[in-house]
Amino acid sequence: MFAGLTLLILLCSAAFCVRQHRREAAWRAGLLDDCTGPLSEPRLGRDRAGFATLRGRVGPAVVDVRLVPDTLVHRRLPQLWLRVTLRMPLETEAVLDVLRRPAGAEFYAPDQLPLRLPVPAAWPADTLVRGTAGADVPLACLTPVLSRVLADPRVKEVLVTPDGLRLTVQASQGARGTYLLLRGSRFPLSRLESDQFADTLRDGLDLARTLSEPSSETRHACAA
Amino acid sequence: MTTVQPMAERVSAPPAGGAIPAAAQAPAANRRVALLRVLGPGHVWALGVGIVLVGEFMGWNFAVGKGGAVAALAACWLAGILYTCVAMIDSEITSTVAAAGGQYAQAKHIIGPLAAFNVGLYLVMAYTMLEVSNAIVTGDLIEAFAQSLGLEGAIDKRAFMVLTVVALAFLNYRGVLATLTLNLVITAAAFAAIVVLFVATQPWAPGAVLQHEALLGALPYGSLGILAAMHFGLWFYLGIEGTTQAAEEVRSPARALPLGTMTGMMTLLIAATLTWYVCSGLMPWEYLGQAVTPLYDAARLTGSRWLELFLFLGTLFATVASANGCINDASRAWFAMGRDRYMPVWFGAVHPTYRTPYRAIVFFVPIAILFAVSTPLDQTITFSILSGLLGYTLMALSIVLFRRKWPLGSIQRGYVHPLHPLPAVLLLVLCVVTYLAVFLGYGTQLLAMMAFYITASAWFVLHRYKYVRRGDQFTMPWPKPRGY
Repeated sequence: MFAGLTLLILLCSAAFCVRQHRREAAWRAGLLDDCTGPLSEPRLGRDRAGFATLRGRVGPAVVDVRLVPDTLVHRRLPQLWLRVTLRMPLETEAVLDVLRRPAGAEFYAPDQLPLRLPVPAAWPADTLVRGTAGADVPLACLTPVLSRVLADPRVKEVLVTPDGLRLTVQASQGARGTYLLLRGSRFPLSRLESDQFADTLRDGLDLARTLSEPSSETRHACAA
Repeated sequence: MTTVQPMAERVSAPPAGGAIPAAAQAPAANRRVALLRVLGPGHVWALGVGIVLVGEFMGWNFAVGKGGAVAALAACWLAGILYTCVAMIDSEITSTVAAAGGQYAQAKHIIGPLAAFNVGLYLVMAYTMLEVSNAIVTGDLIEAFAQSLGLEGAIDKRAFMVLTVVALAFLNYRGVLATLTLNLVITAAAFAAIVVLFVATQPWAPGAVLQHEALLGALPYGSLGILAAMHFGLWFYLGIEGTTQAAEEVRSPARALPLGTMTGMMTLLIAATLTWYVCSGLMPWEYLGQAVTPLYDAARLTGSRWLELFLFLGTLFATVASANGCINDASRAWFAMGRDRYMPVWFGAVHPTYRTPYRAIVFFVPIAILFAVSTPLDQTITFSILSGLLGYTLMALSIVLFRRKWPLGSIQRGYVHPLHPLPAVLLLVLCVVTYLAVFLGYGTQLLAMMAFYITASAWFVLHRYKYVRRGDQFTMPWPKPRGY
């Protein structure tokens, strides 16, 4: 009877884990279901880890949306990053990367940028601005728009390249208890809100527009 | 027993330094991020106790072997004073150095790269040796349980030690994200196991089950035994200081952090005393002082099969969960050192699919297995405690430097601990006492460990430091330290 009870406990635990695994897989796959609205020709999919992906178009830009779980920073709660990439030719030759609250473990950000640029005075001080030669030009152009974008504390990174730009924002933060006890990542998020995605997309389009069609104000900044 | 309380990504931190134009702040106000500043002292308490409680199932009893049961209890109280100082100092530093990375990042900002390198190594060594200890306990536990089922000789505990390390490393390699919701069940089961055992031994009727009168002798090695027991006395609380890392999420750091941490320590003290009371009333100190699974052994001695099963599951859950946390933490600390170029950058790689520091995880598997199958439990625990102790010693120096470089008023502090520099001095004195205690029982291990850290430091200064990217590491918006 004693051995039987042990076996029963093991079987129940296994069944419970299988059920949880299925639920988890369904959760990952459906995270972007509410975000197709702003895109034309939206295509939902899944990445190799089972997280939802979304592709589509907005105007001239091809939009690629991904979710990146990040459990790599020692002594920081797990993060779920929303990564929105706009692929379109931009009016810049340089690469510019603006990273908020760097911890050194941002594997999703470029690691080999040679220049470190001074942080504009109006921005939060714990910001890392890096780039390639000539990155000061897009930085000067984009500073007013970036100031607004970076005022949202959820924004983690803005990357500008000649082929497009990418915004990384916090979609959710892991629950503390789950992380502490088993290093699990349980994000209190059923689906990504369409408003958050739309806001991020709008920020990206604003940045692209500012670079491609400088207004008089930004043209003045670039010239300066 | 894990030694971590994570910080939140600082999404709601006010923009320090530069002011953002009012117009620019409006959207942020509309899209206020949740989750911040939600914890009270009760949360800090619960989380602190939850992660340290595992230590009741193994390790603490080696203090009994060093000086007898009474000496172990005295050492438990003395270690409590040490941890009070640690908690006070860590509360101030953590609530001010709001950079994720814990003591590693703090040492980087306050002392410098060499200290950060050493703290990183302490963390990795403490976690890895703790993982090894948990694997040893799991192997011993399964072997003992198999014997109870009549399978004597059929099971080799070393196989289960290896299996534990490999299976958990595989899970960490794959990056199991939120697939388990058993965590609360596990903690509750572990806690309930201790309480049920306590009740089952009828502590209200001395002599019925518990035989303190016959078993609880005087100090077998005199007062020197209390000093020697200080070594393993640290095990009662190791990791509780991690509660201070929740500084960014508590509503009132100045109140919640010390209150939550202190009440957490009191709870652990009570839990440790209950554990001590039950075990010392069932086993002679000579046996208790070298048992691998003291609570499980106590349950077996009661003669109840149900209680034995309950404590088997409680111990198994607790040690496996702890080992899992250790693999996770050691690999992240090693990964961070790789990213900072303190270690070869090869270790800073991330798995393209699973998003885990897979090279750091795999690197420690053979090391953990080698220690698990070849080293006694008391020695692996000693290595873990020593690494923790070295970290506490640096913490005492760190707070002195912190107050000197950035005096009160020069930067905004979330919490200012009282009576400075008394806690730092007391902490240093107690650390020295504990080094002496370790030297008395494990002098060779102490010297070997010191030689290892000194050699590693020399390698870092003479060779590795030239690869470190110095400028990118310092991100705190602080003024220049005084004197620089």
